[in-house]
Amino acid sequence: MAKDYDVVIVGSGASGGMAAYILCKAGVKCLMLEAGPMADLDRHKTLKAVYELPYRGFNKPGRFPHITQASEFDANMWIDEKANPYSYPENDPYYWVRIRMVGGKTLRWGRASWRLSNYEFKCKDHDGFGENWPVDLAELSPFYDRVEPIFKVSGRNEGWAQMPDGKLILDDSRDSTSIERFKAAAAKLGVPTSKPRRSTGTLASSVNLLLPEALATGNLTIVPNAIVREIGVDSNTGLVNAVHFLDRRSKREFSVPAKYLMLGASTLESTRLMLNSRSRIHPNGLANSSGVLGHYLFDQFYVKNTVVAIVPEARGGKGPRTLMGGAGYIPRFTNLKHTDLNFIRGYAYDFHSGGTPNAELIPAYGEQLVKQLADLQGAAFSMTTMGEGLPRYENKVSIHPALKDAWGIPCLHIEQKYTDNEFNMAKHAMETGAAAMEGAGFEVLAKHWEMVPPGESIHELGTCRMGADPKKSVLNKWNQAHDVKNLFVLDGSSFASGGAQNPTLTILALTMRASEYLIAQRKKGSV
Amino acid sequence: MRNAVLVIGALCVMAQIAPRQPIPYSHKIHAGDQKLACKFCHENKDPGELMGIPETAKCMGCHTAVKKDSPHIAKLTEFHAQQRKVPWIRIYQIPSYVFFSHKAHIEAKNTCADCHGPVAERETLRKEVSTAMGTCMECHRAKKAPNDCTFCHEARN
Repeated sequence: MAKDYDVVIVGSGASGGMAAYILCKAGVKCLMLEAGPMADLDRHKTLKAVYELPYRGFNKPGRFPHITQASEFDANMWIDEKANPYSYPENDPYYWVRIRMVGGKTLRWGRASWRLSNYEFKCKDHDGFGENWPVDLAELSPFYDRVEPIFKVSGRNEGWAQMPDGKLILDDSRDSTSIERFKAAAAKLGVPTSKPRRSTGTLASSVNLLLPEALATGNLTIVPNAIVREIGVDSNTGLVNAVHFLDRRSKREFSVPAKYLMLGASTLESTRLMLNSRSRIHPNGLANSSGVLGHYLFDQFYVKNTVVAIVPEARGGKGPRTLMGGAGYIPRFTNLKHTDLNFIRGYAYDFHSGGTPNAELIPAYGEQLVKQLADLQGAAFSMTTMGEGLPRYENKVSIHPALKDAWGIPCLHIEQKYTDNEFNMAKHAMETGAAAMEGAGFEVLAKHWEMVPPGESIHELGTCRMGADPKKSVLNKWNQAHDVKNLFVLDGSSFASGGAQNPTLTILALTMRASEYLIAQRKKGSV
Repeated sequence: MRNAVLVIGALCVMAQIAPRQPIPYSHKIHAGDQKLACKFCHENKDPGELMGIPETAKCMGCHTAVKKDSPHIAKLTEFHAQQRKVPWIRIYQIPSYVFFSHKAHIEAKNTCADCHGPVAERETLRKEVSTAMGTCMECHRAKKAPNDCTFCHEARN
C-alpha cells in the first residue's frame, strides 16, 4: 500500500459511503477498506428456485443461528457466524446481524428514513434520563435537508415536533378504506398517524447513490476483502498513524499509513476495532480515556405483529384494493408533554393492511386450518411496535478473552438486557394498538408484547457515544474522538440516544456533517 | 470497482436488444396496421395476474387463409399440427417476489403501452420500458397509487 492517501475510511455502507461521497468530491484522496467482497447485484437480487436449494430455503443448520432475516435464497449476503463468532451471557441472547459486502447493510435496509427530533437530541432536558446529544435538530437539519433528496425520501410532512418535517417527495397516495377507518379510530385515542417515510428507487444503497460519484472523482480507491484488525497509533502523540488489515481470502497482513481515519465499520464492529487497538497511550482501547467505550449499548426493541386483526368485510377473499392494502406509520406519542405512564420515552408503530395472518395465530389444524386461512386470505391488518431502548451503562460490549474469528481477531462479548421501562412500553403499545383496531371495527385475532431479542431489529446503537463531556463520552459533536483528533467514528456507535426512529438517515446526516468539518479543519490546519 | 459500478449502471439503463424469436412475428402489422386490440391475442383470464400468450389455434384462426404460403406461417402451422407451443422468448418478467396484477392495472386505466412501450409501432420487440422497482414507484407516485412495501411485496413476519 505504497500510495499516499489523505483519509482512510473503514466500511462502505451508509457512513463509509457518505464519507467518501463528501470527501472525494472535495478533492480528498481516500482509501476505503471493506471487509467483504464486491456486491454482485445480479447474483444477489435474483432468487433461486426452491428446488435448487439443498435445504429448500431453510439454510444449512448453524450458519446463521442469529440472523432471522437470512434464508437460503440470500445466504451469500450475510456473514457466516461460524467464521465470525461472538458471545453473550447464557440467558441473555443477542442477535447480531451483519453483512460484509461493498455497500454494507444499505444493500438490504428497510429504507425507513426518519429524522430524530429534539425529544431525542435533548432527551435529558426533557425527562432527566441519560445524556443530551452535543448537537440538536437545528444544527443537523441542513444536513438532513441534503441527504433526503439523495435518497429520494418519500413521505408526508405533518409539522409534528416528534417527527420533524423533511425535504420529501410528497406521498399523497390514496388510503384504502381499512386504513382510513384505522386512522379515524386512532385519532379518537389521540394517536397520530401518517404515511411511511422511505427512501425510494430501485436500489437505495451506498453502492448506487454514494460510491459512484465518489469514484467518478478519481479520488477514491476501494479495497474489498480487507478485514481491519487494529488501528496503529503514534507512540508519542497517540494519534492514529496506520491501519492494519488482513486479506479475507489469503489472510495475508497489510498495513497502510493513515493521516485521518473515518470509521464506519458498523456500530459494534467499529467499537470492537477500537477496543482491540490497545497501546501504551491507549491501554483500555483507542480513545477510551473516559472508560465508556463499549458501554451504553442500546437499540430499538421490536414487537413484531403486536396486534393482528381481521377486517370483517374482507373475509372470504372479498378484500378489494379499495378496502384493503396500504400502510402507515405512527410516531411516538407518549410522554411528549405529561409523564403519568409507567415508562419514559415512547414507541412507534408500522401498520399494514391486506396480509394474511400466520397459521400459528389460528387455533385450528388440518382441513379446518386450510379453510380458515382461505377465509382470511388478504383480510389481515397488523401492527409492529418499535420502541426506544434506553442507553444504560451496564449494557455493553467487551473483548472476549479467548474467542477469535477465522482471521485470529478477538471477538466481542455482548451484554444487553431490556428492563421494565421497555417491558411496560411494549405492554402499553399492545393495549393501545388493540384499542385502535377494535375502534376501527376490526376483529383482534392476536395481541402480544414479546419483543425480539436485542439486536434483531438491526438498529444497534451506542458504545462509542458522542457528548459534550469528554469524561462521559468518546466523541465530540463532530463525531471526532475527544482523545484522538484524527479519528472520526461515524456510524451508529456515536448515538447518545435513539428514539424509536430508524437510524440510517441520522447516520448519513452526521457523516456528511463530520466529513465537511474535517475538510474545513484540514484547510485551517487545525486537525 | 469503478468499472463494476459503471457496468451496473449501464445495465440498468441500457435498452435490451430484441431477441431472435422462433417466428418473426410483427406487432406492427397485427396491432398497428390491422388494429387488432392487445386483448384479442393476450387474454386476461381469472384471477387476472397474467396476460396470456395466444395458443397457435388463435393464430390459425386467420392464418389458415392469410399468408399461408409464407415459410414462417408454415412453421407456425407445423407447431399447431404437432400441438406444440411456439417457444417464444419472453421479454418482460416480474420477479417472483413481486405481486403484480395486470387486471388491477387495467382497471386503473393504465394502457399496455405504459409498461410495454409503443408495441403497435414495432416490427420486433425488445424491453423498452424498465420494470425495475424505481420505475414502478415513480409511476405509482405520479398516479397517487400506494407505494408502501407490502402493496407489492409480501409482508415479512
